Amino acid sequence: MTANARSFASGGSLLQGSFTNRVRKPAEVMLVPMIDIFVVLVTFLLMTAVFSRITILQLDLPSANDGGAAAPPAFRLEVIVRESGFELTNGQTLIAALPKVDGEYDWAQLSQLAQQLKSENPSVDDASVLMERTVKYDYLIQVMDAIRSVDLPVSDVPAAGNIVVTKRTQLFTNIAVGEAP
Amino acid sequence: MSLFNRPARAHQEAELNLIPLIDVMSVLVAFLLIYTADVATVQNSKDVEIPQSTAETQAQQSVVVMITKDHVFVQGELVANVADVNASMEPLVEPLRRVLDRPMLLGSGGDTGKATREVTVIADKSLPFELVRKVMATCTATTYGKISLAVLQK
Repeated sequence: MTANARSFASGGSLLQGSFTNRVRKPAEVMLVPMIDIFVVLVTFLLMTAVFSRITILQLDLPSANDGGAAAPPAFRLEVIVRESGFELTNGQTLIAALPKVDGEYDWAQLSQLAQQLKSENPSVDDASVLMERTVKYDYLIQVMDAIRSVDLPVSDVPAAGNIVVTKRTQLFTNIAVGEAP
Repeated sequence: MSLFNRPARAHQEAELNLIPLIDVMSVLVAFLLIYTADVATVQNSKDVEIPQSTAETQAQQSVVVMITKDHVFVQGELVANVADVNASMEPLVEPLRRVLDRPMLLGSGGDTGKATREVTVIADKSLPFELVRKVMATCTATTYGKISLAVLQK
């Protein structure tokens, strides 16, 4: 192989320098273009993917199978979201009305009431969120969050500095969505 | 001047050690590729601002209905304009119903039962509830028994 290359190189004086160099050096892979591609790939994937973790909220839909068969539950939380504020009912009677405070919905009070109602009816998981037509979709998600679970501080773990250890407690997890009457 | 007078050997020895760099990068690329595969079923888009929530359920493979500020898409296919849907007085979104009624919309998902077919609704958070309700009502009126709302994990 080397003999062949030498004989070829000796044929032309112009080729001589480059050929003798190549024979002497070890074989080398072209790494720089590969690194270029990798850098582009890494930046692209980093930008598109990592920072948004999409999860889902599953809705509780009345299915055709169990309609009418089961007895209606004794208690079912209904949260009616109006432009003016929240109204909590148990299906028939009004439990509480939470008007907006300074133009904002009263989230703290809603969460408080949901906890209280859950402690009164620990076995009930069902709830309905009834929205007025013009209310923003964002509030539906926030109301569902507020009555679905709550982060309570854990009392038996001492708080270290200003970091409070919280534990998520499930409240009303089966949430149906409807239109406000 | 001294730069040019240096022997050729000095140039050859000054070489970057590139192999570890490539190792690190391949691991990064592989990691990111695997990581993105989970989320790829529900693509994010610039026109949609998804509401944030504390939900922890992972997104599953399902038919995706996306409602941006202006348009309604099913699996990336433009189906209706938001303005038209708002203007119509019908309780259902007729063009959406036609697309959702198509068999084999999700490839192999065509033969599963009605109750288990799932649709994920990705909606912009500034939309009025009326519009989202219409889309959800259309989904349940066709062959979909389960509806999930896509949210961004806080």
